[in-house]
Amino acid sequence: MNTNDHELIARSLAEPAAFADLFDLHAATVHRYAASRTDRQTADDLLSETFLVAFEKRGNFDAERGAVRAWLLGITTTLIRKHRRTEARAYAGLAADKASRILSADAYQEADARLDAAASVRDLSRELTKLAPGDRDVVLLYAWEELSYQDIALALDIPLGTVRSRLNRARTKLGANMNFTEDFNAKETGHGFAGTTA
Amino acid sequence: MDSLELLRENRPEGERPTPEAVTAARAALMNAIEAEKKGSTARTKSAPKRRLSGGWRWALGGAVAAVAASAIVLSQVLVPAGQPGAPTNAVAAALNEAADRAAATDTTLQPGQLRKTSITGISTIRWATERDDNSPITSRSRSTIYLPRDRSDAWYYQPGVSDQYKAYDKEGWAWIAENPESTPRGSVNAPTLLFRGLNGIFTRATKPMANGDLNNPELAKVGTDPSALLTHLRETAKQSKLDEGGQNAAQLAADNSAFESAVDRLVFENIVNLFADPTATPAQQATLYRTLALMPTDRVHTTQLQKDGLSLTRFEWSGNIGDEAPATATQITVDSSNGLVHSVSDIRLKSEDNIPVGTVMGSVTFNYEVLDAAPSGAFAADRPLPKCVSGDRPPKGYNTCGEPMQGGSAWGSLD
Repeated sequence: MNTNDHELIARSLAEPAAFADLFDLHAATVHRYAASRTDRQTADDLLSETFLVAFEKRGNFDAERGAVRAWLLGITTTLIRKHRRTEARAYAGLAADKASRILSADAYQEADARLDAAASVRDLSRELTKLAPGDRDVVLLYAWEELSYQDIALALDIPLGTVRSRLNRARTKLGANMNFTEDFNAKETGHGFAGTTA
Repeated sequence: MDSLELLRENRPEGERPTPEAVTAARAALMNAIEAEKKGSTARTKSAPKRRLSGGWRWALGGAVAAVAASAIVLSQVLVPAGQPGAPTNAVAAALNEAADRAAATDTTLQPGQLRKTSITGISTIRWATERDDNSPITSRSRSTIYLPRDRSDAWYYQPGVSDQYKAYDKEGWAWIAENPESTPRGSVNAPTLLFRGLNGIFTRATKPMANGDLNNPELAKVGTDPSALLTHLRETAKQSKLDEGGQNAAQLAADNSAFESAVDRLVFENIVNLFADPTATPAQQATLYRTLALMPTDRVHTTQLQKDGLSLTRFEWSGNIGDEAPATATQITVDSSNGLVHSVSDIRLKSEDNIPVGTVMGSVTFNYEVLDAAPSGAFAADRPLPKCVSGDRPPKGYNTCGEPMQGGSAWGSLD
């Protein structure tokens, strides 16, 4: 937990200009996350909107519950819901990006393995679009932003138990051959939240 | 490899934001911060396209009605289809011609005469309502100012109220109905009063009038040398961009092309802000025309000459490479009778965030008359201040204790 972030938010309640420092610290993270789920143009808009919403709602931020970064990404996640069509295209782009990287590599080196990987990514991107939005939010905050369970709970304003249940449900839907359980448990332990209940 | 690892390994890189996007986002945040510091209660979702400083405050205080027949009809504008370039000689010539005519107009007002400017302002602001984060509302208002040639003589001013408004969805209309004091509807049926002031400063019953200083300090810097003004505006814009860039300032400045585009855009915006101020003298407008004629265009801007030779349109691209159509048009039209600015408008050319194509995001229109005598009517100084306790709900016709709303007429939809 970054106490500097918390101090900035607390200070910004009396000195609003302090909030600009949070922008400088987290703008790149917010934009990267938004761009990974939408496109650059939408991400540009989401960057601005996220910090405007955060500024307006900073008085509600609860420092006891988690990191500012998670809180900001949660706001971005909520805003992304307005852009589902763009989001779906982004996941299609995920598969295309993987394919292009494979095609640009040495075509004769481990070609079969790489093509298998491309097929897996294509399947995964397709499955991502089929997930319920709430489940997808949890999976991507976990996998791409590497947030802890607790930070995901803060970001999405849901109980810790709901984070677990959504991850489990997503695991099931993403494919029986994808062994999430062990990995998720390892991640949870790594963040020091093993055994924590909602 | 399990699917989680696969997902992580193939996380999209995500394109980096352009320096302009970072600057714009930071500037929007800074505007929100400034608004809060000033105690504004307006909950705008994002910063208005233009800062409501300088002349653009008139977009909220007066109103423009229908654009006069000589002004732009959007469909007549020749969209350049992504081919911005250097300003043509014809554009520069038209600007300089307008400057000549405006400068000549400066001398036509005789001692004792006043130039009456009827102002119509239109403003579209996105409001964050309880149920919808993005409800645009357009309001229209009217006001009038009477200015002597010698600005040290008395000024007369009839402030405006928003008399019409428009929402674009059910949420917007509902929010207007539920928040009458926060919207144009709150100023309905207010008394119409006239103010008299010296040097652009207005008082009421010896008390300073809220927003009663009509002097625009930026206008005082315009001078008569367009080259000097352009240099000043560019230096100011550069510093402003670097300040807004925060920790990204160095990166911003290093990307010379993007930085220069951003500076040019801000310079143009500042010139438009000055044109949008009805207190600008004809001589100041002349300098502004000549300064515009000196400005280069770039990848995100171009200037087109309207068919009648009196209207100029600046198209603004989003700044993203590959965009084939501009996102907004800024239009300046010139009054054919005197060379003075007739209107300044920002018009949306792309539908976005519930705001349809063709929406006027901000506009001021001026209609001029020459009067031989000062206006007469109910002067504010002759009316008693209302009795009320600070913090109480204000009496009908007053926006706060002691500050009457002005003007007022039947309100209704802009449709």
